[in-house]
Amino acid sequence: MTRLENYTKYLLAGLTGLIVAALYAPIVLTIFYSFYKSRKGKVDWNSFSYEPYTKLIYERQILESLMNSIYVGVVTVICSVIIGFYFANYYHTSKSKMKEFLQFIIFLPFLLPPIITGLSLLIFFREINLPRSLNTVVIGHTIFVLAIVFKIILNKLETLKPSLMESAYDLGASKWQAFYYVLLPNIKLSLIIAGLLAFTISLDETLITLFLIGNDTTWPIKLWAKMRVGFSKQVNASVTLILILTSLLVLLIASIISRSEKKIMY
Amino acid sequence: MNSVLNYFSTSIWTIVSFILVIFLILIPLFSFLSYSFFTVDGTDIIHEFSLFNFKEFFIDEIYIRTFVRTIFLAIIVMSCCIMLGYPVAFFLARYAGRYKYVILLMLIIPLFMSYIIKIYMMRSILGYSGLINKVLAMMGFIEKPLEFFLWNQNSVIITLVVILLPLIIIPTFTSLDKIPKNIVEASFDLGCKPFQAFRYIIFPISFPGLIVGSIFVFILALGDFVTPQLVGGTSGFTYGKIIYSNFGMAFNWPFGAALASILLFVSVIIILLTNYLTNKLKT
Amino acid sequence: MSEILELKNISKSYGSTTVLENISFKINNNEFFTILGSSGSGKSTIIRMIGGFTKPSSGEIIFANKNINDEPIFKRPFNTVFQDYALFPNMNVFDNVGFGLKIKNKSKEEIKKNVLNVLTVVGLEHFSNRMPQELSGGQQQRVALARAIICEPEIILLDEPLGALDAELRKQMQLFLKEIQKKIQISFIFITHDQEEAIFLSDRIAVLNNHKFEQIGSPKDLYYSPKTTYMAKFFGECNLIKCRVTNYDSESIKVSSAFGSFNIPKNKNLNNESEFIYGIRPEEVKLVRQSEKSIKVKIKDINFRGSTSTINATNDNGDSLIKIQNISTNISKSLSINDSIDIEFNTDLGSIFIE
Repeated sequence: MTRLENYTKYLLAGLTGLIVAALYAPIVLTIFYSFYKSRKGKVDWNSFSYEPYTKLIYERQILESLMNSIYVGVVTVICSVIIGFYFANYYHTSKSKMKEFLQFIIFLPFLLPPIITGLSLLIFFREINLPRSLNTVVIGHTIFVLAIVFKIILNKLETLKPSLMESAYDLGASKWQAFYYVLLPNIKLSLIIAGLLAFTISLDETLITLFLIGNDTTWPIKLWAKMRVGFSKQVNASVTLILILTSLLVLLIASIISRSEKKIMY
Repeated sequence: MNSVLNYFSTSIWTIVSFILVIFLILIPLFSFLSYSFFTVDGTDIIHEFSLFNFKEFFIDEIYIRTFVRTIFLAIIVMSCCIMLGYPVAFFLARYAGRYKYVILLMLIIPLFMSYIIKIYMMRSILGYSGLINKVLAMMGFIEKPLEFFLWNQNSVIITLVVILLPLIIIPTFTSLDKIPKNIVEASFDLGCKPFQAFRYIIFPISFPGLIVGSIFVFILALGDFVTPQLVGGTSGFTYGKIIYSNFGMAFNWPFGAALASILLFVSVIIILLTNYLTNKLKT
Repeated sequence: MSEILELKNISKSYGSTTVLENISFKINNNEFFTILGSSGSGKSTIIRMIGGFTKPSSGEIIFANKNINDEPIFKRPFNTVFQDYALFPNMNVFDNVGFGLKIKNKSKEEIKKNVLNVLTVVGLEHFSNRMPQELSGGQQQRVALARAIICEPEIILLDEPLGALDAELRKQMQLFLKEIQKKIQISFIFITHDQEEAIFLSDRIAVLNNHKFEQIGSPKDLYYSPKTTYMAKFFGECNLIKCRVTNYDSESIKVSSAFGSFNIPKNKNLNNESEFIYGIRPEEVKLVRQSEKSIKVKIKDINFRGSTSTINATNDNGDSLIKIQNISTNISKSLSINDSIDIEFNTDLGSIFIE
């Protein structure tokens, strides 16, 4: 390595460090303020307390919005994984030219600004007289994450050899038996990864949700509303808990991916 | 072989899901586009074809001005993300060794962390009595807090960069990481200087990844309406914000739809153009 | 020997591309039948049609006197060993082999008994808990075979199963396949592009060329009685000589060629003046003392091959070439280039191709 390259390397390492710090600064601050008080920009170092966390159980509104978010996330996962699997399977097995068109449509809500997806659905629901509720939010989230779910499952399907399913049929399996005993166990991990990712995205989705939410609120919408009056320490505490949950989910996804990659590809 | 695998593709469920997607994606898009040709009377929407909304857009110059300003804003955000993100991706792929995936993961996690919280906390970092001002004051660089950072365009740019930066690092890293070491070594062997190797080998190969990331950043920055509203003060009046306000207090859905259809038009052109360019680069 | 499967006038095309044209053959009980053809000749398509993975465009597949063209895969009493083995990566060896029985709702004890039995037959009784990806290529191959055997099919279809193995392992597996086929008494339809493999393994071979069968027969038939010039050149080498009948009588036929004239045994396909191509294997050309029947040729080159040598010789004008094999080196070392030698054909083993 030349000296110049060495300098470049350290310079880049420094920049990377700074950027990691910048990305985490808001998060670290949130966690910090869930334990410490500050008055007029001055931190009171003696005010450490985990009381906000215990008080959180009395914050009905926050808890309710959290439950709503989890409900939306879970239903989104179920819908998007089922629909995503069928589309991936269709795309993988079909020879029809329609499939390219189908892929294009699925990718639209993912590529276009979220504001477009949000207001399209809003207008559509108004036209068909469907009142806004958590379920309309689920629809919005499902079509938003569908492209990612579809792509993850499709990638996995494409690594499977066609002879795998053929040999199942050859040994006497019906299509459901072949699906249950052979296809499903082999794409299981990709379904889990897709589902976890869909849940993580749904949990924090704000821009589409703002258009589709009815009288209930999801957690990000609650935060958005609370922001005008400033955050209480309980809000910070709830944020900290969700941050931990999200990080764990992302780490889980990463570990599943790296583990399945380490397995000798068969 | 197709006769076997067709088992699933001809299933009734595929047809059902096909119908679902057409209903949930295509028809909403069409109904939104058709709304942009309607007008409003009080709280009623008049379902009659009219070019009124588009006329409004071109006549009142505030809309075009805001639109152009928002595009510039998105371009600045995108450029900042490229200038900061590319070196980081380059560092990860080339120098970070076995830590590269760990650092990458550290850069991905914030992407999934509360969007609203990041904006909120950027306020307390950038604000008059925020972290940056305090640190600068402590180090003696400034005597009184700067107002440079909050309630203006700068704060919108900084916040969007912090939120969107991982989106450019991930695809760029992926395409850089795919470059086999021996390609770079071969270029040195053929007499390339380090900068030439970068200019002629590394950068062209990583370019498609960079483009994908840039487009994501650009489109998200262009359509965002929450960030500008929350940190931008008076300059938070971006195009997205105007669209959103037409669906909220202003209650003029057709006009909002018309403004949004212009945004859609620009986004689609950009997506198609990039697609065309990257395909052309590949061949 | 009784027939169990018949393919009648099978053709297959995808769009305007013809893959197979008018294929007909019968499979006997306990037979090792090989379909031999170069890659892309459509040989896999034949067993994919028998297995039911794809349907013929026209023609009939008849099993036990019944047309099974429309029978679904899982109802056909055939099992396939795939080229890439297609073992289920989510199951261990035991579950892979037992899959066919499990699908048929056999009891756990029965599955266990049968699987262990079959694993013993293929020599993998100690590997039942391994995962497929932990096995070597040859072992995976055995598992794939065991998985097919256990279903007690009438025919096992093997789609180039040895293609992915290295030369040494390939030899071992050939021996193994031959033994096991004798042991379990099930007909094998085997696909390969390797001539030596086909000759070594098969009771009968069908040679596929240009979407059609050139010839079907035992390895010896194919070697000594090729029906076409393609077949004559396909196995080993063959001298092909243009001839014309000059004298046709009840005992023998006199023909003339670029090398002069010689006699061949009587053949009812020939008559006076008919033109044909005469095929003779290089080892059936003998060096002789000059006689009435012998033909004079000039040596072009001599290739030393150890205990024997090969000679290339030309006629007087030098415009036709003939190859002579298995010349004892004792004799060939006394010869040199441009020498004249006398040769004779072992006409009992010559072939006649009328074009």
